[in-house]
Formats: sequence, C-alpha cells, structure tokens
Amino acid sequence: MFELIALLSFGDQGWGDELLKGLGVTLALAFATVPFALIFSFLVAWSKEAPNRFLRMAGHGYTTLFRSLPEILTLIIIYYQSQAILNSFTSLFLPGISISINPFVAGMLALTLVFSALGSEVVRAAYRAVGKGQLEASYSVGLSSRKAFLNVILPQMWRHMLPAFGNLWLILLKDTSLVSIIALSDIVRYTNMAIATTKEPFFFYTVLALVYVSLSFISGRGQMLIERRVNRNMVGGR
Amino acid sequence: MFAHLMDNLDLWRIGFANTLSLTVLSFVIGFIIAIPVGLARSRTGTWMSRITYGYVYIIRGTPLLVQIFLLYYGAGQFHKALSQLGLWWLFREAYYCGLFALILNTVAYQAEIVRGAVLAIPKSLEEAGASVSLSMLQIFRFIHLPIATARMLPALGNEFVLLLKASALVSVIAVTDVMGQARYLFSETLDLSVYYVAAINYLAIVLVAEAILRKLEARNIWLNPR
Repeated sequence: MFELIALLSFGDQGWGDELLKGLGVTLALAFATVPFALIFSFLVAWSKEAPNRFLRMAGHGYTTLFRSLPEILTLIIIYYQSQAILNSFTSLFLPGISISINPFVAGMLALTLVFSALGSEVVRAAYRAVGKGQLEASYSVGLSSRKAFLNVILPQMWRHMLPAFGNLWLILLKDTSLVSIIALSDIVRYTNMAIATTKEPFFFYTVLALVYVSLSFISGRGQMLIERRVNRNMVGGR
Repeated sequence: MFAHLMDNLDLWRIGFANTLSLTVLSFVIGFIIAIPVGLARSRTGTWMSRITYGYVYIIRGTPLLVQIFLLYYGAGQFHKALSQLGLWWLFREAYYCGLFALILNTVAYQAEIVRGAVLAIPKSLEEAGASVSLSMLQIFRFIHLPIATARMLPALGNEFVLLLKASALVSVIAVTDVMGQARYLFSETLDLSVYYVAAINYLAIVLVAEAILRKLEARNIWLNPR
C-alpha cells in the first residue's frame, strides 16, 4: 500500500508532479472554453429566436447536429479536418511551411461547439422565464432594444441560467478527458503514461476517478454559493 | 466519399449492429437495475439511500472514459482472482467490458430519473388506492407505474440519446462499434470521410429515436391537462 502511495510523490520517482501538471491542463482547457461557449450559446439562442426563418432553422440544426454526435467524434473530426484545411491553405499560400494544429485549440473548439449546442437551449429558457413584460416595460420607458437587453433582461437571466449552466460545467469538465485521445497531455494522458511504466492501472485510475469526483464536489459547492448569492434578494429562497 | 462505405459495407454493418446492441442492451438492463436503486434513493434518511447516493455521485462525477479504463485495464490486474471467481470472461472480452461499464454508468443517471418520477407522485393517490383496498403490488402496478413511466418518458429518451453518444467511447478499448470501425478505417486509409460516415450513422439513429419518442409522448397528453 505504501509503495503505491509513494508512486504519487513528487520528483523523479513519483508521478505526483506529472499528474498535477495534467490537472492544470485539464482545468485550463475547461476554463478557457467557458467564455467562448457562453458567447456561442447566446449567439445560437439569438438565432433561434430571430425573425428570419433561415437563421432559426440554422440554429435548430446546429443544436440537433452537435447534440446527436458523440463528443469524441466531434473532437476527432474538428482536429483532423481543421488540420487538413490548414494544410491546403499553407500549400496554397506558404509552400514549404507546415503548421500543425494545436490540440488544445482543437479541444477548445470542439468543446465550445458541444457546450453551446446545449447552452443555447438554457439561454432560451432563461429568456422566456424572464418574460415579455419586462421587455415591454423597458420599451415603454424609452430604452433602446440594446439597452433593454443589456440592462434589464440580461441581469435577470443569470438567475435562471445558473442551475443548468452548473450541470453543463460538470459535463464540460468530464468531457475534457476526451482530449487525451488527440494527444493533449491532460491528466488522463499523464495517468496513462504513469500506468505504462508502473503497470498499476487499478490504482492510478482510481486516483484519477477520485480527482474528478473532488472536482465535481468543489464545483457543486461553488455553484451552491453562487446561487445563494444570486438569489439573496429573492423572497422564499429560490 | 462513398467508395469506402461500399467497399467496407460489412465492417460498417458490424459496427452499426454493435453500437445499437450496446446502447439498447445497456439501456434496458440499466433501467431494470435503476428501478430498485432509484426507489432506494428516494427513501431519504435510510442507509440504503446513502449508499445509492454515494454510487450515483461517484458515477456522475467521473468521466465515462475513466470508468471504462478502470474496468478494462484495472480488472486485468486481478486476472487470477477473477478467473477463480469465474468472472474473467466478462472482463476479458472488450465488448462485455464496455457493456458492463455502460450499464454501471446509465444506472446512476436512470436512477435519478426514477427517483424524480417517484417523488413527483402525490401521496394522496397512494392513499386513494389503499382506500379501495388495493394491495401494495397493485398500487405499484396500477397507480405508480403508469404515472411514473409517463413522467419519465422525456428524460429517459434524453438518456437514451446520451447513452448512444457515450457508447462511442468503448472504441477506446477496441470494441468494433461504429466509432471503432471509423477509427480502424481511418488508420488504414487516412481518409477523413470515414468519420463523416460515422457521424451520419449516429445522426440517423438519434433522429429515428427522437421520432419514436415523440410518438410515444403524444400518447401521454393526459399528463398535462390544459
């Protein structure tokens, strides 16, 4: 048992520092994806509510597509396809130079697509939950539609979006594990390296599972605190 | 683009059958196990509820990829013990191991769905059943089950789609499902179009599943009277 624990120590003998480095990449990927995913969620939600029929269709098609494809397939297609596109570009304009796609960027892009397909529905539901009356009231006091959205609707939407976005954050956090397949050195990949040398798969994967469970636990606690703060002015708790 | 599809039609057929059987089997078996787990989970304060909550929390808190790795490679370490127990066949064959991992995974999610549906049934209905002297079993069969299944249907359909997507992950332990075949063909031909063929496969299954689900849900209009 002690020998196994020693495998987690830092330095040359143990794998603790490598795993920590991988954890850093995992968290960096998740945190780097969130802002893009949020912006995309709003854009797709906006296109679903747009007066233009083709925009609406495109928005719904987007959600259907990325909700149906397995995340690993999306990730692999994005990774190889963007590489192929980049290669044909460089051969056209910069012959003799080869640029390779960064797996981190490919992972971010794929996770953004998946997250925003689900997130757009959350945004839409929150927009509906705020209600039409608020928009009409802001128009009646002479706000422009931009101001009405930014200053009246949006601040009220966060409260409705938080629980669902908390769930999506957990999904995102778990989905980052897939980038180990396209050779990004996240915590799963470092674990696999550790197993390749130490031949202790059960121990290392258990440690990995524990890391992810603690991340979910911390996320859940954080979400609870934020929700409590956002709802502090609401009578009746919610 | 379709040359690969035609040349390797047999491979794709095997892949499609494997994906479909993995998804449907794990969904059905998972549902059967999820009923007692979900019921235990809904009795708050009992030790059964605490154990099942811990199970659900751990499964939902870890990526399926890690669960599959843990089961498949982790079990290899206990080869001797598992052979003695006569369980080695389950972990040796990647397909069974993947199926096992998917079942363990979906039980946690479906148990939460069962729990939500059970908690949503008002107690008065149960009492009404008791007052016309239905037995416990009859109350379950004629009152709880119809209402709960109707309530669960949208969530279960959603879980089916999620499970289908999740089943693509078993390709990492070399199960020949749609994704596994696509990865194999890609390594052979280095032609990206195989992944698009795989994507069309998944899209088709999801669209058909959602069409069936809409039909089923249309039968449950009585749930939401206007």
